[in-house]
Amino acid sequence: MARADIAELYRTWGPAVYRRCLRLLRDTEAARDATQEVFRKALSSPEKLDDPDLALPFIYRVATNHCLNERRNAGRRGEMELDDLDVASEHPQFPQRRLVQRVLSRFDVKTQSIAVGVLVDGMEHEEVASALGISRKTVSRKLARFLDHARKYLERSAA
Amino acid sequence: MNHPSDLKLERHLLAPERSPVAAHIGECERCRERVSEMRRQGDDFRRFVYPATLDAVLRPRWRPFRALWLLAPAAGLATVLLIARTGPTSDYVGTKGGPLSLTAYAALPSGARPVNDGEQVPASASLRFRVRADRTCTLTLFSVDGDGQISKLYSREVHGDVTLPGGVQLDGKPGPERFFAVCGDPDSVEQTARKIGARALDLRSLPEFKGAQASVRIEKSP
Repeated sequence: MARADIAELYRTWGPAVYRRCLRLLRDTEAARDATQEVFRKALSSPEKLDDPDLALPFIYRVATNHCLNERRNAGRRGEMELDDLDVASEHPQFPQRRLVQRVLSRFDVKTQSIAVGVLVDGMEHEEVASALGISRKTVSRKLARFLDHARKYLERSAA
Repeated sequence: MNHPSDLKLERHLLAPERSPVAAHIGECERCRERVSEMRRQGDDFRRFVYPATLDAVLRPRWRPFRALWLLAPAAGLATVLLIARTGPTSDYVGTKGGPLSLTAYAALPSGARPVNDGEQVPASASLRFRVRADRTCTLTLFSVDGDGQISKLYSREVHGDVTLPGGVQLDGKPGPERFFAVCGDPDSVEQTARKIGARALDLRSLPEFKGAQASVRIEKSP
């Protein structure tokens, strides 16, 4: 792909990547670094970036996975403590106002993406499934497991 | 009340005229605020992140002295890639001296050139910065414009002669803007700058701040 084409794609889709990274990392410098890395990853499938219908869910997925990995790795490396994520929607099985990193990091990235999609982004199960390229059944199953474990973990922590 | 997700709002931003959530946004203050915030973040991307990261996106390996800048000409008709100059001319008199110096370079259609304090540059030009620090310091580079808006551009450790990676694309709004390079705790620098606001335009350094400092003011011309 020509450099001018890459630059144009970056100009088109970069804002959405940056916003997603800001939302999940809550730090402008970390989001800036993550944005360029996410976009470089996304360039491995340029045909998806060329198709407006595919591009948005694709970069959303790549950015979400990348930033959740960054959050987990930052904790492992003992680097800056990233702020916990605000929960957007009330959920009877997850009464916390914030999705704390120590709960999130106990799960695989796919489960984290689902939990963030539903709890932080306030997405419907179907929308999460579509954005992540998985079935709605998988979303429901993994979310139920996440909520069950998270609730128990939080109860244990509080005790 | 169910609010549209960020993903739906992203689709809305791409094509508001075809947005299925436009009616909701029209009636929902919370969503309007979120959309405004997303627009601001998009502006920040175009102004700061894009110029600062394009080079890394285009090239897997960072080579600071061969960085490419992307210019957005005022007419918005084309983009031009320029090779950035790596240093000032010998007669350049910008903001030299002291334990810290700051040099701004404007990428212009005629080529990249250093900007003197108070000089006019096109309001949509790209800028690149070079600093020289006598001692290792945590450098914060920020700008303040005529509206008093503070924009933090970089925060990183520097020592010696350093060309800061990437660059900054000006916002296209005519008026003054001053760029500060300050050594010290980044949070304190930012807090001090925000406290001073638009008054900082007329200051060469942040008062009551002990770290090494340098600044350069530009006038963005239409």
